[in-house]
Amino acid sequence: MWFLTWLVNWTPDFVFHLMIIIGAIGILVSFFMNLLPSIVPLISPYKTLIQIISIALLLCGTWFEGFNTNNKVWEAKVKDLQEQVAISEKKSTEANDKIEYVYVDRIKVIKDTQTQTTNNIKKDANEIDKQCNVITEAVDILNSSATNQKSFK
Amino acid sequence: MKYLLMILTALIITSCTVPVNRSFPDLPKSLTQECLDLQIVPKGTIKLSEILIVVTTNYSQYHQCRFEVESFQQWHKQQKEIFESVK
Repeated sequence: MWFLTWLVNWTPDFVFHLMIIIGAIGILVSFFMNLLPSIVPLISPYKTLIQIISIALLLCGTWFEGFNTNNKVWEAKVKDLQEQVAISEKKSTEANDKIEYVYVDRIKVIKDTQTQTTNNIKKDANEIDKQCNVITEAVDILNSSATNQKSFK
Repeated sequence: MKYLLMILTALIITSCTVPVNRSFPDLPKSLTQECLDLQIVPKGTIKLSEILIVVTTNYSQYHQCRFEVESFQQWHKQQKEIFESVK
């Protein structure tokens, strides 16, 4: 198949048009030879040969014409698809950049909130600790929750 | 006849292959990070303020991780729509 594609790409379009035209003319001439008495003596011995070659040219020309048209249709589809892929890749990169930008911004807000809260706790640490002392069991329970381990007695 | 059919099938398959390669986009670097383990309170801690700081850090970690998951879902949805828009 690659050979045919290469051949069709390499051969100019007019060659296929010419094959069809020559084939059609050859068939017409060979079938209506009797109506052209002036050239009959010259070509009548080759009537069958002309018919065979003409039919072969017409068939091959038509086939290649179809193949060529089909090939062009596919090439256009591929080109269109490649353009769509390029657009989608650009959109995809833009979407990635946007997500990356929003991510950095949002994480900064989360970290800032954490810092702010931690500072508030540190500022009021004396007041908080004065009101409450935590027993070891409470810490163990909290840690078991953080590490997702059951430690209930 | 058998070989002819095989050749014809091969020709049809190769002639129908459209030479356009596509791949699903890679995940942004920031969304490939794993969620960290939650911090635990050091043994022997009795001050509530120290526990609160650990809890605050864990809350912050949760928010960060949650946002990463949300971002991933949003990223996947967007990229899927873009990917499927090419037909």
